[in-house]
Amino acid sequence: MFFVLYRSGIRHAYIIRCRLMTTSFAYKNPIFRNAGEGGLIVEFGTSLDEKVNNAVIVFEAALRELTLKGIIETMPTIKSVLIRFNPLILSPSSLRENLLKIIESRNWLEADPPKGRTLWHIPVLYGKDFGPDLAEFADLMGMSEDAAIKSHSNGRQRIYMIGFAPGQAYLGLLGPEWDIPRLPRVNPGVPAGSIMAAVRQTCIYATPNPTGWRVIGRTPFRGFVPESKVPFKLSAGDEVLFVPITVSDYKRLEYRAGNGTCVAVKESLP
Amino acid sequence: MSGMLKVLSSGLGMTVQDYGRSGWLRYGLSESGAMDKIALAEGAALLGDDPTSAVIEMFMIGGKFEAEGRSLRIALTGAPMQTKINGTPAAWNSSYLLEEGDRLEIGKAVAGIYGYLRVGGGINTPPQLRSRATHLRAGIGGFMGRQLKAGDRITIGDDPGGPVGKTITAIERIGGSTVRAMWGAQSHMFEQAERQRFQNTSFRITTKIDRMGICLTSDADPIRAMDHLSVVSDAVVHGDVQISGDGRPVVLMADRPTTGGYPRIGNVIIADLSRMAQFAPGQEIFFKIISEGEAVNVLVKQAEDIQFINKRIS
Repeated sequence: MFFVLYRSGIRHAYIIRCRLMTTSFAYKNPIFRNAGEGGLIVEFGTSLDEKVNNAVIVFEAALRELTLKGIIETMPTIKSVLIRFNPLILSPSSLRENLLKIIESRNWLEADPPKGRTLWHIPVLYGKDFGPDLAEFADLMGMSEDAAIKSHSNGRQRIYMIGFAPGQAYLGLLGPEWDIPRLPRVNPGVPAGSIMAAVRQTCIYATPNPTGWRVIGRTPFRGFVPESKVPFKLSAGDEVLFVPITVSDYKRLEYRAGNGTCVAVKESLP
Repeated sequence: MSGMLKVLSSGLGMTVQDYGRSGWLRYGLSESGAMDKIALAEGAALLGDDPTSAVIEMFMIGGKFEAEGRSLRIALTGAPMQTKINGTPAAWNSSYLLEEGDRLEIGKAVAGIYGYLRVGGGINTPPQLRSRATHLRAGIGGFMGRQLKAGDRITIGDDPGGPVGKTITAIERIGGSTVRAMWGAQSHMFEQAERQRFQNTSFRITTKIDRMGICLTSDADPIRAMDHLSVVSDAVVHGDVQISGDGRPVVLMADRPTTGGYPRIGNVIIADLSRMAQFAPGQEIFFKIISEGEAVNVLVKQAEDIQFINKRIS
């Protein structure tokens, strides 16, 4: 079953790549989509786009401030916000009316990012056994491994969605030289902490999973710590700087992470 | 000594479940929880117990158990399974008292696929992320985040006591062949003729079924979305009917991934999620599209059935 569902992840990577070639993704007005009688999706655009995703993050943050009885939870994705609600408490039409008012209250596409976001400095051991596909990736980009590492770690990337599997983070956008398609095959299992790249995006695995992306490194940072008071570390809207580390750094940090220490450095964003 | 339930043998896919956890979708974690939530309410009614306490969910086949430490009150609900207590056949949808050392033997499901064993006081494994529900792929909840197996000894919560030897007339949901659904988040990506065909097609449950999803097949032509449109990974919810690359539906269930990139033609209504879960491989099903208003009305009716569930006890 996992495999059947998993293939959808590969497909969307491909679609995002196609869409990157066009220019406009945002709708003038967000669209409501039904997700059953207890779910509503507010869609801000058609595809991966910084403006669309920013609108999603800001709008979802605003919904969390809202105390509307019957809302169970909200979830930001690449281009939309899911609202799960109890239709026995809150009628779908009443929810839509309330949301329309909020939607019309401001221009979400031009909104500033919400307060309380974090910049994460995440240590990564790139290449070799920990990032077995880095050499191939660098080759496809026409650069050396060192140049690829430098390119991947020298700028902030934004988490535009946590999804699919627990704590799984999707980040972007990397420069156009990173627009390399996913693998033509599925790697049946890569460990938690794997850092993968494809189509100008980075993906961080918090649990072991199959992948159709190339593994370029691994972090000792644990994004999903079920026994912690804050079980999930990363949130959509946060930003990440990847910090290259050595094998000995990795071993040391992995040991500390195993003892429950968060080995990524947190910085509050203004 | 506190009560324990010892697992002597176990079928595949036996897990601790409750109503599941909310609030973690934004971090990539689906709700989990019992596949047939109506069975939770029925078991609680039989024992006069807290419906939110945890139970054991059994998939297709049960297991053998022994009461340890003290006597245990139990209730059996969901898919009826062949059952014996100390070698004597025992009817399903009923409650019993197991004395210390008594053996409960639960075999194959005779209708439906998810059976539930509730113990008075509830399964007392430590909650994780606000629920005891096992989420296998996340490795959390239930008994060390995994399926139950022979040798496991499960702690039972304090049982204030209550009735045993009761029977419940189950809320109708096992069998039939029609599942009600609403048009979904990407219905507009299917031409009218394909949407009509989706409603007219006789689908069959395959053997690819688990807590994440239910793969369907049919002898009819695959269902196709308009090919000039494609989907970026989007939030998916319990009951979403996605049309996979081969043109066959997959119904996403409790342990699904939180996002998916296939177009979703419809969404099984909340009131029919238990029915959907209980279909066995090979069974034929049809989707009947209803409106949002009708879906809410059906849910109100089901909520009333559950509110007055004690009327079904005898």
